[in-house]
Amino acid sequence: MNSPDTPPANARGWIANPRDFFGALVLLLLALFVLWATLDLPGQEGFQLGAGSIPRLFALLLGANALLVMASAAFTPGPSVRYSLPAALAVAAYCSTGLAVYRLAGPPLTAVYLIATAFLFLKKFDELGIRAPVFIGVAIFAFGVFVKPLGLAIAVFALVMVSAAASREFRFVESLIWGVALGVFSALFFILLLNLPIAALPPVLLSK
Amino acid sequence: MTDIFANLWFGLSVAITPTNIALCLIGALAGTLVGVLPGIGPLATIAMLLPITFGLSPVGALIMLAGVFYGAMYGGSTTAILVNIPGEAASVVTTLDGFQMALQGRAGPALAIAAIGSFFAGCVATVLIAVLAAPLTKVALLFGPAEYFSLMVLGLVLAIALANGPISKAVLMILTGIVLSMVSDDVQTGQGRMTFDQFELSDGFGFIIVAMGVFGVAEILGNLMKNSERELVTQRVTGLMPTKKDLKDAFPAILRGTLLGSFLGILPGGGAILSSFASYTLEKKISKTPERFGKGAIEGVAGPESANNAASQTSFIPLLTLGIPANAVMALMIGAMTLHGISPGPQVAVKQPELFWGLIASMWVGNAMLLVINLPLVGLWVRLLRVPYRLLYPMILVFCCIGVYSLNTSSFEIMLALAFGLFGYWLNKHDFEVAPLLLGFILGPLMEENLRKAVAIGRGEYLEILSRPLTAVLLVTAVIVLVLALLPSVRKQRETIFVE
Repeated sequence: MNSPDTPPANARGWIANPRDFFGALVLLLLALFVLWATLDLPGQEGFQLGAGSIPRLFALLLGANALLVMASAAFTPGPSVRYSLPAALAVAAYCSTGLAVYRLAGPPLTAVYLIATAFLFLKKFDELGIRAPVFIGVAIFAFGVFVKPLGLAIAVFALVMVSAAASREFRFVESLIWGVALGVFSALFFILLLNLPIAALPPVLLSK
Repeated sequence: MTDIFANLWFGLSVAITPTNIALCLIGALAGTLVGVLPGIGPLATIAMLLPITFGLSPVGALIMLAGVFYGAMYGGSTTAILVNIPGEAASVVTTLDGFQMALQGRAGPALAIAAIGSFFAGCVATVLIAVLAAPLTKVALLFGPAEYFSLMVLGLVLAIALANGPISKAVLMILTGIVLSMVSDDVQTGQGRMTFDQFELSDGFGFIIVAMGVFGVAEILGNLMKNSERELVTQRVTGLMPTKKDLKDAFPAILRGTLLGSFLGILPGGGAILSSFASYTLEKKISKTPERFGKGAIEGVAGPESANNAASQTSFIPLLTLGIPANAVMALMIGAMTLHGISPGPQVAVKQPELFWGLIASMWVGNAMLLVINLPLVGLWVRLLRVPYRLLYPMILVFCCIGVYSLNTSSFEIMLALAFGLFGYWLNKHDFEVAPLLLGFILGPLMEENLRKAVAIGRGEYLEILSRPLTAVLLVTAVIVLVLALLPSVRKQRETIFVE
């Protein structure tokens, strides 16, 4: 999972332009998924186009175009993209253990587990080149999970702390200060000033 | 003619109420700020600011969001000239000659010419919008569902033809956007489509969620993965005033840039980026001394800067008159209008003249303000560049997440935004430009609605629908454009515009 490089021709394998090929492959899968998911929707009946007609029409167009792009990418040389099997396996392991915790212990503990493991294996993730996606992903996940039970200020703090670690220039104390500052700012700005209907602090504390 | 001035005057009276002036200023300043800062563009900013505008009047909200857009065009050129970093894609060409001028100690004149050119272009474009709005609106009111559908097809085809990058990929992105927009309960029958009985999906993916994901989150991921150090070369700005010779050299370029930009801005998919590139190519081609370009030719700053500003304003024309977005930013504006309970289209000018003319007049006010505030503030903007990215991106994420959460206070939607972020990152990584995706996403439901209406009205007789004169003309034009864009010779020329 790194920026596109151009390796020597012999390292390219059997697909001439992996960048276009695998990019379009995902879109082909999307089209197939849509076709499958709209199977039970009615098509044209009499003069009326049904709920399924137009999604299927565009999904077919998408799939056909994706195939075209893939076909031409298979034979026309182009830039390569580096994929790493260890990185993919690490992400898979990380997500599946997260899912297990989610089933057993619910969302908040999952977020805690994911944050803890991310920091614990920070070096490993960095070596695998997936530090940024892991930390950004976990940070947003944690915000989504924490914001309702813990309030905006704490959720923002968590978001800033975890996402800051996505960068190699991460500095702990600086992020701590920045997290507190943004947490206080968002509570004041969004809740006091803009009146958004979100709790600033843990609702449990406030109800007492 | 008197009508136009009466209308503009009326619009001005709306735009210069204290609240609207303040909102215009905030928008323009926020726009300049994101224009200056690389790594965050007007798209993500407008998406982030949208939830904040809920409490405002629709006119105020749109005035502010429009300010972000043209403010970003100004801001982008400032950093392009001073530190060789284009804050926006549209100011990439400005780095070529602008930064060279700065190196020669002529940063002041370069900035001044860019500002003057932008202001001039903004004024012309505003008048152009006012002039074209009324007749286009009249034409648009004659359109039925079949005509609308064909017009949107033509719009998308033009967007594909003018998109930067390979045509096949632009087609894929638009289709992906359309397909994603189909997730929702069916408007006519209420049947869930790909919603898997999740009530959160019955209204479809909110376009803010999609925009935040594929622009906000994906952009941050892309920047972090690039892992590039930002270098700062700060020039002292001395002597803002351009010389008489500068003005004499630059004026024709400003004029040409304005014309070119105004025209390209109206076309779907044209917009600011294409027009600045096209203007640079044009200036270089007609110059008697093309060898000066790339070494600090003032025309190379004046032309593109005027063009991108003109284009960013005239791209409001199809939005305001037809309700069809010309580019991804305009697609966001449509979303903003819908959120404020306005259905975009020709009836806006008739039913809500204060919104229509107020927005148009505010662009002129905003441009004037930018001219006044920008030049003295240059030092401040450049200093802002020193804010390290490691502090910037967590803040952007905070705004994105709160923005999404404030829509429906739904954690599920935050997870959706994350999913779209990862999807967008995958697309970026494989060099698929995501802007057309948003265009397709906004136009998808409109196309479906109009096509289904047209088929129902035409009693299922496709041939009859296709042979309505206007429909036929629009569709045939779309086919011709598509075929032209695919011709090898045109394809080559298309590529060279962006290669410069």
